[in-house]
Amino acid sequence: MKGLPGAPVHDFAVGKTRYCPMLVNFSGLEFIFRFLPVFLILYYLVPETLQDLVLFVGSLVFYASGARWFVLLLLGLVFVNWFFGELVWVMPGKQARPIERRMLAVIVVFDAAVLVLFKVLALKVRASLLPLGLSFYIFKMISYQADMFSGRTGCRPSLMQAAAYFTMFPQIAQGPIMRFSQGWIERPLNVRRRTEYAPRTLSLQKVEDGITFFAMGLGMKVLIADRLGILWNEILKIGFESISTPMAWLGAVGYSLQLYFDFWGYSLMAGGLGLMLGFRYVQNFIHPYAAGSITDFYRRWHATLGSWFRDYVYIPLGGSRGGSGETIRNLMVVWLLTGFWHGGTLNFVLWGLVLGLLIVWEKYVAGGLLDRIPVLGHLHVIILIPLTWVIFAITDLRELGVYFSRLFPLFGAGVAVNRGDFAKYLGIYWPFFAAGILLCVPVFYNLLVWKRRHPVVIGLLLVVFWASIYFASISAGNPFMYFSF
Amino acid sequence: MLQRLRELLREAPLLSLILIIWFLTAVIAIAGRGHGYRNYSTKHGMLPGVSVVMRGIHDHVAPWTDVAGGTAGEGQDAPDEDEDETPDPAAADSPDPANAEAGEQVGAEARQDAAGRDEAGKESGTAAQNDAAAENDQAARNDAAAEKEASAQAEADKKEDGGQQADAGEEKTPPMQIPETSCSKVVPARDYGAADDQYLSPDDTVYNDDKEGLFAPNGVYYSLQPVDDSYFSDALFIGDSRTVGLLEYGGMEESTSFLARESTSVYDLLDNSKMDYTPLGKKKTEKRMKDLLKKTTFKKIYLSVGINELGIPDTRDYYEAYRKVIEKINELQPGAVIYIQGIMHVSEEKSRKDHVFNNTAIVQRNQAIATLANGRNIFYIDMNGEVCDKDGNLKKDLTGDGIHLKASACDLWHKFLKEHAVVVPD
Repeated sequence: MKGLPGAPVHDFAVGKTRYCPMLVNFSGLEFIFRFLPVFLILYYLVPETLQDLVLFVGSLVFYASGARWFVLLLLGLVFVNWFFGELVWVMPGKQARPIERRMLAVIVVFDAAVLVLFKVLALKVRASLLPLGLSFYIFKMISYQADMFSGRTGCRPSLMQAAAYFTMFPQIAQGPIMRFSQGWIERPLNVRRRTEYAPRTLSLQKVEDGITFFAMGLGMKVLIADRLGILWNEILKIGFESISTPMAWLGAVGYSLQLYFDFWGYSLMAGGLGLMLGFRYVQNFIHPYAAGSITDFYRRWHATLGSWFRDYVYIPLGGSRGGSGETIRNLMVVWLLTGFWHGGTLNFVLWGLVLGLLIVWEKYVAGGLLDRIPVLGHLHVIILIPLTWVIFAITDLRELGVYFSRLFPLFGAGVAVNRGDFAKYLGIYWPFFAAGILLCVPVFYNLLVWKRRHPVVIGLLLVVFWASIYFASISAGNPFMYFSF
Repeated sequence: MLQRLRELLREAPLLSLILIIWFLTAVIAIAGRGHGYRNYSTKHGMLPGVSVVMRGIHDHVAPWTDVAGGTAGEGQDAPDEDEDETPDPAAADSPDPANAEAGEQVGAEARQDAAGRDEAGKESGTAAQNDAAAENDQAARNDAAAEKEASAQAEADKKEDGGQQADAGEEKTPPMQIPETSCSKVVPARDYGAADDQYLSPDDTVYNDDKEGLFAPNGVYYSLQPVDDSYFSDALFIGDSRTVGLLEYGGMEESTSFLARESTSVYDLLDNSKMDYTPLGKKKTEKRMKDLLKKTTFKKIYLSVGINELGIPDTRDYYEAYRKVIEKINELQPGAVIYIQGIMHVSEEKSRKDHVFNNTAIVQRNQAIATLANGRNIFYIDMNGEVCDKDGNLKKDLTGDGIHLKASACDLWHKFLKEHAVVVPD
């Protein structure tokens, strides 16, 4: 499978016989039953003043288990960014001096250059040269610097605070891209949500909530996304030129659901872990498929990335304050960068471009119509978004063209198409589609969260948790459990 | 203390229930360590206890189950015997429920064994197993020495013959050579060094050097020749997902019959696992190989398995299982021609870095099963020449996942089959 949005492709290849516990996978047994319990016990035993240290050290262990020597790069970046943060820091209420402005420019350019360098290396030399989670912690570092300059960090962090923030294991591999202030100061940055916890208070309630979200996320990842991943693999196996048109659509929807539950599941697990550590819950997915427009979809999909681009790219560029020409330029810049952030190949650029254009189209052309007839907006999302995911999924442009010619069979027939493929695969995968589509409807998930202390929900989550563990166990180190031929 | 626990259960029920179950699995795992779960320990220590119990559930192993230390293979013959003596067609026509049940049990046991085998390879085995391995090695070495002499002699014979096809009745001193026209050559492939040794057997292992019996050439040979689609009307294709691909995309579904299912291995065929039977384009039904072969007669039986077995050590074990499957098929369908289809290679990308699915292992396994051909009623055919590049890698444009032929490439396989068939006079 290709990387998740926001999860550039990583090569986790381990040595032939070397035993290497892979902790970086939240659905891995070594993480759940070894790393996490030990870490939590230590974290809860030490005095509050040492928690950041425990979090930092634990996160380094976690990171090193997956990224090996890149942990040194991480350490270096942590130190450099903390040091520059000190130089960039502007006392609240004071006017920024040119030196601070210059330092901010230096460190932001430096961080961005490191990211681009490794992305290019991964693209041109070897995929394994992209350090695990680099895209995420570099974005945290850039936001940290900008916030130090604007005063939005809310305080002047110590080295240990900054280090724990940059490296914290619940977020280092795949986000969410939390802001420093969300984890380390009392006043939440975003006060819209009612159920915010005060930052960093430990309680049994939070642990219970944490494990609830973790179990939900684990189930989404293991029981839905991983299963649907096999369907996409089947389509690759058959070859795009030989799938029927209904099958092509089934594949597009299946891949969209797979991405969604893989990434939403991951984000829920990360959010749950954060709660267990006493942090506030960071919401990364807010029912994107219930969105009334594509613009709205991307406020709800990977929300921490979207708001990062809004706060640190779109608004500094001028946002929508200028004329419509400038606004369109700013939107296109944001979306091209978003495309490049996800991957270096042309299809990602195309993906960003298409989304940028769709959003401009909604803003200036179709907007009024979509507002007046909400059904149109929803259809817009449900039909167009899976098509954009197809662009996201297929890195080879020629193959991408073939897939689209099967989705819209206007330009000739396929080769060796089996008309029965749709019925066959729907027959196998319908339970995963059904579960996935059900969870796309906000009311079901919200009900689960709201009634999370109800015995029925607890029983359900208990089953989901252990069923996930079962599947994770039998497939661990046993590649043909997932892919048996 | 009890009060605190009750409070925990009330305040954090999900957490407490997960902890309780976790604790129980740990206890079960420890209890079963020396018994049912003995094959799940690794040389790096136990897997997490939970994982052990879950794998046990998956393999139908309870902590108290008496599991052998991974020396599977033996003992699989014995249970077969009680249901074999059914030459009476009437008896064969009505499947005996008792037999079916027995078959099921055998299946379960053998699956366990297979699981044990799988684990045993990954992890340090028990002492018994090491001994067994050592013994095998010894035997293999002895055989190898014998084979070297034999093959030298055969080489000499061939030179005299000038590569001519041997005719029936032309008696030579054993072992006899099958003429080249009766079999495909095993297609070689470049070794990228990715293969994990545990799945391979020593290079000098000798597989089949039978001097008589089913697997020995006896001077009666048939040659491979082109045929048309009608040839396949009384044929049965048995195989894994690759054969399912041939069924769905090879354009043969109307002209022949298939007994195939995804993830089928030679061990599943031995276990008589359920598969899907699709006769001549009709609706598919669930069938077990033995039941089908008892009831329905086929003139040609094509076997194509081997990709799923690559992760089960090792080539010798694979060879032995394959041999038993052919014996079984031959026994149930004595008049049928049996085709051993060489395992199709994987793509270069896979072969370069996959420790399990690589062409080094595939070629070794093909070399092993190719020795089972006798040129008389068992033939080895290898289609890799049609679909591989000069390094023996599956061509990139023919595969989407590096393992399977794309739908549009299945026709190459079909064509190859039409070009390489034997016509045995009735």
